[in-house]
Amino acid sequence: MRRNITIGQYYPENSILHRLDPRVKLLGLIVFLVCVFLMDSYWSYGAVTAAVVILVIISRVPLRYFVRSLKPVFFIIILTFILNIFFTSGEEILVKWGIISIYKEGVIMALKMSIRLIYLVLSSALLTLTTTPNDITDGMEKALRPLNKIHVPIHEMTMMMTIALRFIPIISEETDKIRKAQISRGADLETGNIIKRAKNMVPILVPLLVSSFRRAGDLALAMDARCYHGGEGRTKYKELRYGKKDGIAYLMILAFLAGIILMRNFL
Amino acid sequence: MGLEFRNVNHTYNPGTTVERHALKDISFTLEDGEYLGLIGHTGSGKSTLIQHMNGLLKADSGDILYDGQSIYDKSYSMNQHHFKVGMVFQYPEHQLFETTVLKDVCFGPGNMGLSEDEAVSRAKEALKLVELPEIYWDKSPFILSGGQKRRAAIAGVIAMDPKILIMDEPAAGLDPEGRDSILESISMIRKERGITVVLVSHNMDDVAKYATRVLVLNKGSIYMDGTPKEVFSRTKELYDVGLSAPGITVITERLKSLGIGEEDCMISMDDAADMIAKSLRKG
Ligand SMILES: Nc1ncnc2c1ncn2[C@@H]1O[C@H](COP(=O)(O)OP(=O)(O)OP(=O)(O)O)[C@@H](O)[C@H]1O
Ligand SMILES: [Mg+2]
Repeated sequence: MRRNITIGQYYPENSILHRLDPRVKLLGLIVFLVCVFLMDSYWSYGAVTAAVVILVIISRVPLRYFVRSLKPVFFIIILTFILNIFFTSGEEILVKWGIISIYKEGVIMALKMSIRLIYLVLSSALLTLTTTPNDITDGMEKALRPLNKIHVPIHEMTMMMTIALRFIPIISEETDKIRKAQISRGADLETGNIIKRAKNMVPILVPLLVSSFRRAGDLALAMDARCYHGGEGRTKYKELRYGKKDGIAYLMILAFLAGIILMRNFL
Repeated sequence: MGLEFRNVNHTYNPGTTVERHALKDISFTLEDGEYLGLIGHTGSGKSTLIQHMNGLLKADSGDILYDGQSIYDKSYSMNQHHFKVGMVFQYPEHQLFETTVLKDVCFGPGNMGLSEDEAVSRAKEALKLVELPEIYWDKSPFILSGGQKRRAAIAGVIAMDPKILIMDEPAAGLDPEGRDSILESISMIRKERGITVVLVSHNMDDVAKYATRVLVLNKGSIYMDGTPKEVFSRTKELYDVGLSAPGITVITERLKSLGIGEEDCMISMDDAADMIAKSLRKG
C-alpha cells in the first residue's frame, strides 16, 4: 500500500514543466488531446511524437514513471490493436488464414489507434507527474472562475475535489490498516465465490464507512472552527500568477495547434 | 523456542521516490513468556517490526522462525500463525464492525473454526478478562465509550487465545485510569495464561513497570536490548535517540548526583521510595 503518494503520483523535480502555471498545463493538455485526434498525415504524427518526446525529456521525470503510467491501460491498448487489426477490412491483403484475413489498412489503423491511446495516457501523465493535485485543482478553479457569473459553484466544486484528492491516500491507508487488523483476526479475504467474498468484505467496509463519516465530521468541524464560509471573498495563500514563461508557453501551444490544423488541411 | 528474527530487512516502496528502508538487519529472539517493551522514536520501525512478527508484512531478506520453523516455509500455515500471534493495532476500536460487542469478539474464534458455543464461551471469557461489564455485551459496539471500545477490541484478539500477544500502544489516547487498568488487565492475562507479550509504547513509565525486557529501535536498527534496568540506566544514550527514561529514574539519578542514595538505576516507584526512606533515616 502506498503512503505519502497522492493520486496522480506527482514526481518532485524542478524542471521548467514543473514550474509552469497549472492553467497553462491544463490548456496544453486539452490542446494536445485535440491534436492527437486531429493528426492524420505522417507529418502530423511526427510532429506530435516529437512534442511528446521533447516534453518527456524536459520534464526530467525518469522514463520508468511514464512506462508505469501505461501499465493500467496496457490491456486496453492491446485489445484496441487486436480488434483493429482483425476487423478492419481494406483492399490489400497481407495475410490470409482461413476466414481470417489481415489487411494493410487494418495494420495501419491498429497502429494509429494504439499510438493515439498511448499519447493520450502519456500526456495526462505529463500533467500529473509534474503538477501536484492541489495545483491542478487550483488551476481549474482559477481558469473556470468566470463560470461563477452564471452561478456555477466553481469554488465549491474544486474544494470538494481537493478534499476528495486529499482523502484518497488517507482512506487507502485506513483500508490497509483495517484489512490487516481483520486478517490478524483470521478474516478470510481471498477464497470463495463472489457472494462469499462480498460477505467477507463486511468486516472491512463497515469500519471504513464509520471512520470516513467520523473524518468527514471532524473536517467539517475544523473548517467551521476556522470560519470557512465558501469561496466568497476568500483569499489564497499561494495566488497563481502568470510569469513570462507562461506567456511563451501559451504562444507555443497555440502555434502547435495551428501547425497541426494546417498540416491536416494542406498536407 | 519463541520467535526468532534472523537478519530481517524491510523496505517500503522500493524503487520509488518515497523508498524507505524501515528495518535493517534485525536479529533477536523473543523468548516464551517474556514481556517485551518495544520503544523507539516516531518512525523508528516499531510498527513495521511487529507486523513481521505475525506475518502481515514479509521480510525482503532474512528469516523469521516460530518454534524453530520458518514462517515463510510453504508448509507453514500463515493463517494459523495469525491465531498464534495475536495483534492489537493502534486504535483497535476502529476495527469493530459487528452488531453487538459479543458477536464482534466472536469473529476471531469463529474464524478459527471453533463451534459457535465454544467461540461464545471464549468471547465471554475474554470480555471478563478485559473487564468490560456484562451489560454492554449485547449492545452495539458503536455506542460504547472510547475506553470501552478499546477493551472490546482487545478482547477480540484475546479470545483467539494467542501464544504471543502484540500490542501497538494499547493505551494511547486513554485517560490515566483507563491506561493503568488496561495494562493491568494485560499483565494479569499474561500471568494467568503464561503468554508472551510485546508492548509498543511511548510511555517509559509503563514499559519500566511491566516489561521484563526492553528493545530499543533507532532508524530501523536495534539500538539496545536488555532488561529495563540495563536499558534505562543508559539515560544519555536514550536521549540521543529522542527517547527518555522513566520519570522515577530521572528523579533518582538527580538525587544521586546530589549525594542521596547510591543504588544503581531505579525503575520502580517502590524501590525509589525505599531508597529515599533509607537515606532519610541515615541522614
Ligand atoms: N505503509 C507504509 N508505506 C510506506 N512507508 C511506511 C509505511 N509504514 C511505515 N512507513 C515508513 O517506515 C518507517 C517506519 O515506520 P513505523 O510505522 O514502523 O514507525 P513506528 O516506530 O511505528 O513509528 P510511530 O511511533 O510513529 O508509530 C517510517 O519512516 C515510515 O514513514
Ligand atoms: Mg507505529
